[in-house]
Order: sequence, then C-alpha cells, then structure tokens
Amino acid sequence: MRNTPNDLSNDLSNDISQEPWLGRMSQAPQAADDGFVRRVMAAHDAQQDEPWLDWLADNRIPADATFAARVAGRFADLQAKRRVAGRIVRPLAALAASAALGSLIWLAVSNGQTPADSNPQNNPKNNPMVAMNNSQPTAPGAAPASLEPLLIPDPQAAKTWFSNQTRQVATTVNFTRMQASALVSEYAVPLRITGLLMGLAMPTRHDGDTGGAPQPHSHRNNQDRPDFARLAQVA
Amino acid sequence: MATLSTDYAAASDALLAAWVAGGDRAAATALVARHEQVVRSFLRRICFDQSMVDDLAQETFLRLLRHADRYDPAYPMRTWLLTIARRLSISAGEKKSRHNAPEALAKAAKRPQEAEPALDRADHAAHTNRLLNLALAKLSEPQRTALTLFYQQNFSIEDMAQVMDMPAGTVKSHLHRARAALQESLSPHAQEFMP
Repeated sequence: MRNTPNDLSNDLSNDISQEPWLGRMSQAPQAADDGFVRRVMAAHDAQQDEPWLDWLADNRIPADATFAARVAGRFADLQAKRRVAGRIVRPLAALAASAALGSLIWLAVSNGQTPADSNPQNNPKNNPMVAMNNSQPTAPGAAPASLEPLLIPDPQAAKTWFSNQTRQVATTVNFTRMQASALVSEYAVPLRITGLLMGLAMPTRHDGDTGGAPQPHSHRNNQDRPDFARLAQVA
Repeated sequence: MATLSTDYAAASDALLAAWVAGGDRAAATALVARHEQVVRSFLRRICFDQSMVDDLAQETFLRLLRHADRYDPAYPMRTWLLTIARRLSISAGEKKSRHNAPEALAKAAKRPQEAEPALDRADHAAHTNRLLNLALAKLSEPQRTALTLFYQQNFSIEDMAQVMDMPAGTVKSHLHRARAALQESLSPHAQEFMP
C-alpha cells in the first residue's frame, strides 16, 4: 500500500520521542522543507484527482499457466516447418542462380549474339522469311520452360512468378499468411535479384530485330533497356 | 546449454536468449514465462480489441524467439519486447480497433443505468476497467502507449522514447496530452475509480 504524507509525519514524530537524536535531523531549514512538502502534496493531490491512474498502474492480469509452454511449442513447430520450406526453396534458388550465371557466361562469350544471329542468312534485311518469322518473339538459348518468366526483363513479371512459387511452397508446408510472408522476405529477395540479373543478361527479340548487341542510341533499345529505377525498387 | 531446471530461473535474459538461439526449448519456455505478464498487461491497455491480446502476445514472443540471437544485452529485454508488441499492435490491431470502437462505446454508455444497483466487487472492477479501456481507446495510439508505458510499466522517458521511436520531448508531450484527455473523459466517473 502506498504511503501518504500523513503516515510519514506520524512515524517521524514517534521516532523522535523515542530517539531524541533524531530531532537534530528534523531541524532542516523551514523554507526548503515547505517546498518539499508542497511538492509532495501537489503530487499526492494530482494522483487523488486522477484515480484512474492507479487502475492503469495495475498490471495484474489473470495468469495463463499454459501460455509459455504453448508459445515454446509453437515456436518449435514453426522452426521445423521453416526447415522443410528451406529444403524446398533452396534448390529453386540454386537453380535460378546457376541459370543466371550460365546466361551471363553465354552473353560474355557470344557478345550478345546467338549462333543464328551471326549467320547473314538469318538477318531479316537479307531474308524476308526471317523478317516474317520474327513477328513472334523467340526466347534465346535453351532455357528451361519453368524458368521462362525469369528471362523477361520485366520486374513485375519476375515478382509475380516468385510470389506464386513462394505461395506454393507456403501451402505445401501449411504456413499461415504471416509465416509465409516471413519466408518470402527471407528467400524472395535473392531469388528476385537472380531473376532480374537474368533478365538483364538475356536480350529480347522483336520485329525487325537483327540480333547482336543492343545499340545504345536506337529507339528500339530504349524500349528494351531495363528500367533501372523499377529494378532497384523491386530488388 | 542448461541442464538443471534451476538454471533457467537464475539465468539472465541474455543467457536465456543465447540458449534459445542454440535451440533450447526449455529456455524458450522460461523466457516467455518471465515476461508474459508484462507483455500481456501492456497489450491489454494499448490494444482496444481484447480478443487480439493473446494472439499479439504470442506473435510478440515468437518474433523474440526467432531473433533471439540478435538480442543486445546492453538494452533491457522488456524494452525490446514492448517495442515488438507495440509495432504488432499498430499493424494488426489499430485498424480493427477503430472499426469496433463506436459499437463498444455505445454499449458502455448504456451499462451504468442497467447494472449499477447490483454491482458486486468483481463486476465493479470489470466495469471500471472497461471504462478505463474505453477512455484509452479514444486517445491516439502514441498517447495510449505513452500513458501505459509510464504509469503501468514505470518506464523512464528515455526508455519510452526508445520503444516509441520518437524524441523524449515528443513523448512528454504525448504523455501530457493523454493525461489531460483522460481527465476530461473520466472525471464524471471519478467516484467509480475510488477504492
């Protein structure tokens, strides 16, 4: 129970009658003492004016004996699920990373040209049939179909693809939305960066595309060039 | 890793956190049990929807356990925990609380006339707590948090500034305004708060 100022002064008076030497201690300068008492009383009155603050100070809450064990159990369960999810997602990340590396190596070796591009007969300027066939975009190289979205230098498409993959993984191990989101933040960023890297590495083909390395000042190239602001945002 | 059950009770928060990071489930139980009361009582006051208190408390501890290896013993565990609890409450609870507030306020306004003559001690405590919670619900989130941290958790202004992620002067200002707002809404019910 909280002491009131009155309790304090009564105790002190009793002590002084029994132990006179304590009287010396009570001979403090009157003005300073007044100030102290005034402050104590003001604080006490303020508390009396706001009795709800005492209720607010009460932090007793009905004990829940099983709470701690429940939380610890759920934590162990989550850790186990995360390990399972990691086993599924990690190979996917490794696959994407190796595909990206392969693309970069291919780009460096071929200087951005596929073997078909280096053949003059495949140039649409020389061969009208090629120009007609080029009306459908063709995927360069022989990338696995499942990784195709990674080759599109469109951050939104890559983002959607990775979100879908992660959602599938989360469903497999029966994660809640909150747990799945934690998983996404752990794995999606490196995966997405890999995807974007691949998007940068792989040139896209359009109508009239003669192949070869992108020309920095052409109109077509401005459309094909990745939007670095958007890439940075997604990554 | 601890081998005796007594080790857990005597171990510091930092030591328990290190054991948790090493995969010790008993240490996790001990750590949660040690701080459960603080977190749940804090959430009970800052979170308007009482049905969410246990869920948020549980999520707070799960985050603590998952990131136990990042615990910096230079800061009290309680400060870290309440920072997590507050952020979770803001992101998950605030929206729902706002939606439910008008309905709950209307119910509370009817209650005194209906039940006052028959209020026993437990009913009175429950009713008074409800009045306080409703008054708190009318405050802004920083005001409610400032009051709870200061009066319930006995935090210093500096610790409050850390939990609330704002300068000490701003915290003081929120505290001052919160007290004034509480005074305004609860002074007609002052008698009900008297022991």
